[in-house]
Amino acid sequence: MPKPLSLFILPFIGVAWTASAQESPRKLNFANDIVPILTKGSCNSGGCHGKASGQNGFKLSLLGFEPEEDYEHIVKEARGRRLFPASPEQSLLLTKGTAQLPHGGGKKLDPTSEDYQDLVRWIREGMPYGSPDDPKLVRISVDPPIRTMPLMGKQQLKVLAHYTDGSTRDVTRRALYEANEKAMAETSETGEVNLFDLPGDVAVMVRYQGKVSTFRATIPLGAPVDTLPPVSNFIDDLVFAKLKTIGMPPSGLTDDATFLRRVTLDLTGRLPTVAEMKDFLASSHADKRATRVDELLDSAEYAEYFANKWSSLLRNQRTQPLYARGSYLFWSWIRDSMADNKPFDQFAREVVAASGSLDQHPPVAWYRQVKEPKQQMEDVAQLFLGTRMQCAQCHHHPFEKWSQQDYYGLAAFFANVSRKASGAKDEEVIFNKRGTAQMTNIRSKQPVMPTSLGAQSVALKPEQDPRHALADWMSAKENPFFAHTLVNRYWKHFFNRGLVEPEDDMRETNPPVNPELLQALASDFAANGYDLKRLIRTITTSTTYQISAVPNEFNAKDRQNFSRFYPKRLNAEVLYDAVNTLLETASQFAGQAPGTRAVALPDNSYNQSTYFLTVFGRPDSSSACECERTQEASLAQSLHLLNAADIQTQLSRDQGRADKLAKDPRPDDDKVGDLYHIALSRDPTASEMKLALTHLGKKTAGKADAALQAGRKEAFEDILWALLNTKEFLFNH
Amino acid sequence: MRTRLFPTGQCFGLLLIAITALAPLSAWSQATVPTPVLTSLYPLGAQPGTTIEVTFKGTDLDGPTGLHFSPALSVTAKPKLNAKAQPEPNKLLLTLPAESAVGSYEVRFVGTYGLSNPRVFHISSAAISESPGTNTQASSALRIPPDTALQGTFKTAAPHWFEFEAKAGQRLLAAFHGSDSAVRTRLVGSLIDPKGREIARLRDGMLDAKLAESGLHRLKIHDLMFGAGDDYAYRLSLTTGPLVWAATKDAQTASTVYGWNLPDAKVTQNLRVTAGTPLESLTVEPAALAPLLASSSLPAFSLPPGIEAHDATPSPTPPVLAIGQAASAWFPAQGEFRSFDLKFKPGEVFTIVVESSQLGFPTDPILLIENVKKDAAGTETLTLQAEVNDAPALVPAPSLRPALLDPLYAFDAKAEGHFRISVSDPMNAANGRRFPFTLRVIPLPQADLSRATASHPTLPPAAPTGPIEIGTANIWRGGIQAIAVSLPQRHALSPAIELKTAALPPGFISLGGFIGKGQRLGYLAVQAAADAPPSAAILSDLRQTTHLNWTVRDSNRENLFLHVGGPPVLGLVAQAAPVAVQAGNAAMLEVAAGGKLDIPVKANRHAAFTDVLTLKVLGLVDPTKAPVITLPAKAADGKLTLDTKALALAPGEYGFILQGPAKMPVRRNAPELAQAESAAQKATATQAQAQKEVDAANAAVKAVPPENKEALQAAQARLKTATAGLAEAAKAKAAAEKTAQDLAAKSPPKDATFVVYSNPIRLLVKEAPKK
Repeated sequence: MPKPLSLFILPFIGVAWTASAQESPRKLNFANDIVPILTKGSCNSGGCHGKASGQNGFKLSLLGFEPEEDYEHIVKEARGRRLFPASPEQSLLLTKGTAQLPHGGGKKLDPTSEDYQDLVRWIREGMPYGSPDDPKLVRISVDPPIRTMPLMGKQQLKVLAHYTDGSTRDVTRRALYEANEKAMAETSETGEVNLFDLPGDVAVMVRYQGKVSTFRATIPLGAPVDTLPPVSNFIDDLVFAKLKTIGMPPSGLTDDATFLRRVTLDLTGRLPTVAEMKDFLASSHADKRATRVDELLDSAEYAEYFANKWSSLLRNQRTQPLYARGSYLFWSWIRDSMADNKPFDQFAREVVAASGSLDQHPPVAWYRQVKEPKQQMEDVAQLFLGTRMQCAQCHHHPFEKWSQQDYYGLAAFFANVSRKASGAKDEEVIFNKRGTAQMTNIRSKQPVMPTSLGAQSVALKPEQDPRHALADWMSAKENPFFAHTLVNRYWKHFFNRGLVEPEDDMRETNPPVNPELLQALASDFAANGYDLKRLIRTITTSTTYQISAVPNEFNAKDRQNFSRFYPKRLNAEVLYDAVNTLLETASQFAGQAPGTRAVALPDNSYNQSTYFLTVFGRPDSSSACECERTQEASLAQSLHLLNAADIQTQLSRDQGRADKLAKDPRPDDDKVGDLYHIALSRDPTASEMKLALTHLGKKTAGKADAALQAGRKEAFEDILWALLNTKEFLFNH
Repeated sequence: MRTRLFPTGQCFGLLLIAITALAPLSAWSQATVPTPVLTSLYPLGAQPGTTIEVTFKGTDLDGPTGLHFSPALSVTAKPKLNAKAQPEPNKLLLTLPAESAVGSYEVRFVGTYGLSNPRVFHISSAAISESPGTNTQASSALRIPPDTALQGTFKTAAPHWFEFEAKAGQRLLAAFHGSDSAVRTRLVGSLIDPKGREIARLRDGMLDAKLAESGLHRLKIHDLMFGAGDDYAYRLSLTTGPLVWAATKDAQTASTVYGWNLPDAKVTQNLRVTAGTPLESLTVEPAALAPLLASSSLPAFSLPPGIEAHDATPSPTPPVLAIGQAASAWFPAQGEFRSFDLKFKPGEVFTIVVESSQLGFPTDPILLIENVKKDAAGTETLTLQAEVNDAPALVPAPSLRPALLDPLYAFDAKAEGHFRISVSDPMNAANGRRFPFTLRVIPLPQADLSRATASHPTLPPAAPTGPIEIGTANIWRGGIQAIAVSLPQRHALSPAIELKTAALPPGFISLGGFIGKGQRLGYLAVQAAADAPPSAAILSDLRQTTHLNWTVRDSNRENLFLHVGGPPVLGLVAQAAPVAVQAGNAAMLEVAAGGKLDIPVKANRHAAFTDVLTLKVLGLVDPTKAPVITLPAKAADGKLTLDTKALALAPGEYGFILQGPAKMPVRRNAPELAQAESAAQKATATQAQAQKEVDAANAAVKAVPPENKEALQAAQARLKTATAGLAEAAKAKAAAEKTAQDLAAKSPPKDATFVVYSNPIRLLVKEAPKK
């Protein structure tokens, strides 16, 4: 505890205080009263004095998480030149803050404000740090915490700080506010929330002195929800309940053809075959959709497609030529884990606690890319716990409760991970080295034992592998992170939007749009042995998943309530394969059998050789973040589909789809129908058929023999080209 | 280490272990003497009593005469003739005896330049289905029976498809002979049911499927990385019968058998040795064991005698071992430790050895030794004595050595003590697999060669990354070949061991060898007589040999792997070696510690070997610090000086050998040329004889009086015949000389670098005399 500067000035302060006070003002405490002013003014933000190196010789801890250090810097550093108790208003801290002297950060304090007055009083009173007995901040609360509000509504929030002595203080003016959905609401500096015209849920994160709380607003549309599609399982109960609450009627159920295309793409990353489409549409079985889900889950393509997802997140990279063997082995292990429906807790354990050689246990490839304990912990936290711990390495997490102690405690589970040469070049054996696992907190310089998030440190014997203890904690049914993170990640896979967004940033201040649904999914997942296929089956057989993407008059703006299916662009690999399927082309990837699907490629090394994959955003597997995959549309993508030489070559090649159709003696409408079946899994509409046949007619009119044949081929090339450039082809809807 | 699912045979162990440490840098060039290198051999197996066409690829495979099998097997090999009755290159017809023992064999090519490195060949009674290589689509799948050994080679980056009829309820097992077969292939695949569903995967060399549908099933297999080429062969055993993985093989008591699809067996509680299904276990009476093993299509591991049951609950207090005892059990799951206690007395010397990897299991054990102290209340305090993961690196080390993953710890007790010995297997800590181990406390001293690893030495590589060469197994006539013998578990007090080899064929002469007291490396040398006939010898006295499997380093895809197999084999090349080096004599040389010793060295040179000869001491100290002797060009005598002070040689017994490169011109076609030159000499002699006959006939004609027309006529006829004979002889001589000239021109002598050795040398460094 820093000591107050000097006692001799206290009598003067006392006189001043006595003279000015109407009632006995409470004593100022540096941490409780002064630091919040600096935080509110962004003085200690990462872009200003809060950055690691400070700003122009003046350094503050980021967001005031280390008040003792800040006190040293403000009061004592540079021989106390920043403060002038004899004439507080002349203090550099104030003359800079009020921009009386040149200040790179501009004017941060108004001399008429209460903040300014408090600073003056604090300086005048001798810059006390405060007493050890002073109350400490325990938490903050927001009033109201939750409210149903109309579109375009307003709400003034009140923020109370709760202290260890049971006292409270209104800190509304000094708290910070931020809405999680900027399109739905904005906040003022004084805690007023202003809604826009989008219905749904919005959360406002409120921060004050390392404590966080949220205000949640539910904004109903208020439309009548008279009829709802039939409920299939608990997902529908909870989604429909929300839709009723906000008055947003869902779209109707999608048709069979669209469902088949949607679920086949989502589960296997491929288009339905024509035979599958015809069989499915011809079937009159009541449970044919659920049956199809089961068939797809049992397919090799399901395992490949989800292996592709996990391979990327688990950084299965080929950064060295000799890494190829490891990346094939790791991909193969993931693929087989998916095919076997390995319980997800076991899957996670086998990655987190990976030991041995690539041959014996391919997940050690993860440790090849993620070398240091801190990085290992950060990846595990983000991937399996939905928590981004990176910030807490250097300072208290600004949006979370996690401190550096939490950071190093979680990293300590990996402290004993060791490696030795395996004999094969560029391959290592991973093992847990016996000993006391610990990390050093870089700020306190104290050793930190393995500690799970929000838990006590774990007592381990030197010969115990701490990673198994971590895996035990992660996979415990009551773990508040593990199951929630996975179900949210998979929910996003199917619905193009997580219940929490981003899907790997789950925190108190980023609440789910449907907390009850997230909890129900997580509980169901944990209670059923972390069964991934069961989870997928539950999701895809829900009515919610089978709702049409076509909006009704009320839900076109809905982005978070799942009142309609949100179309999503096919990802790079799926689109590449779909184009190949449509053009009847076999892929040629180095080190793969001809015709290998892009979703079955083991690592990132193919991105460079296949521009298509790069331009459509196939991730480079260089992080544990789903955000590495680019799903946005770009001009380059459009141009590639329209003009790229590889597409054009495949369109026009001999024995390609167009060439074969041109030579096919069947009637043209049959062949046009085939193309729609392959590309869109549906029959062409009458107008589409007419358009296609008219084009065929135009291209062949007046021609004979070879010219006729060439015209027919060209016409089919055009139809194929047009189809693969339709949004309906490019999107799963 | 590569995964190994099954042992390769009853007769020898086989491991594929990567090179972990390369020998130090050296300026020496690598050996370039022709040495057969076999990079592929196909097929990988056959049935006893069959004749098969064998295709072999590699380098220096001149003059094929046959294939050498180890363990010895009397096979016949004939050239494969084409339609024009000409031998087809790289092919032989091989006939296996009907009584061939089922198992795995090391097979070496035999030709002009002796024996090659080995490949592995499996003999089993299983019917064989050969993949044509065109079955790369489901539509072109090869129809097979469900019980068969599939063999093929991936020539393109495409899978091979097979199909077979099976019934619902059948259980199909497939086991891949991959790394065991010394091929690059790592086989993966899928089993697809009649409805087109993938119902099982081939992984870790194993597929296990309980068939739910009757009908046509398809099997798709490929190399993990879609590798293709001659060395991407495979042999996959398919069976609907039992597959025994391991068994205790005690003739007196009931055996415990582990495997899959065993009759009336119990499925274990998650005892796994692959990523697939858990093992089943079964207890069988001694009489039933052999039939069960015979019904399994692959050889089974022998479990250590007396191994604890896999599901035994360890007692809360560790069992106590005594020096000289061993305990066998299964490693606990998740890398946890299993503990034993050992109490010892002052003066006891012992080595604690964990055996698991060397038994063939894919493990990498850790040995943890703690001192146990108990206070009056009986409370234990543990302090760390040692934590050992791998066997210690040998200094000096053989030029090529496999990673020895089994730990050992030698201890010389100075006082009474109590160790807590704990073992674990971190290699399988996360994959759910458990394997057996034996913990052995071996008393010392003990002169024992039973765990020796022998290898054909090479020159140190020219650079840390290679190239690494195959140590030759061949001796050229008059030359000396050495075999390095290493024993990592020996202790400073281990007594000296004589290295002997018996029953060498005619023409091979053992020069013996010696591992000094406390040394862990020694060299055995064999010399070939100057007129030794071509032959091969299996040195069955030595347990294992180490040799490189793959000679072509593919820096983008593969690493070099060592193959540790059966006893070393020596071959003979019917050409003269450049030099035989004699150092000292057979007697033990003596020198006082700190003193110097001059050892006379004599080089018995081939006439064509005139270069400087530089020899380095092997097996005494680290090769980077080893003394060197240089004999000037053409010199036959020299002196090696050993400075025991500079070499820091403590008093004791040492064994070492001299090794160095020797460059001598060698013709690739020397045998053919020698034959042609011999024919030319004969033709010259024939011509000379014909000339003599002509001269004699001429003289006879002149000697006949002209009036004796009859005699003259006869003499003239003789002259005519002789003249014709001379012309013919001259023609034959010219042809023979041209043949010889052509052969000589076709393959001019080129310098080849041999690796030459001396006889093994024994040295006793005595205590320095007290002043």
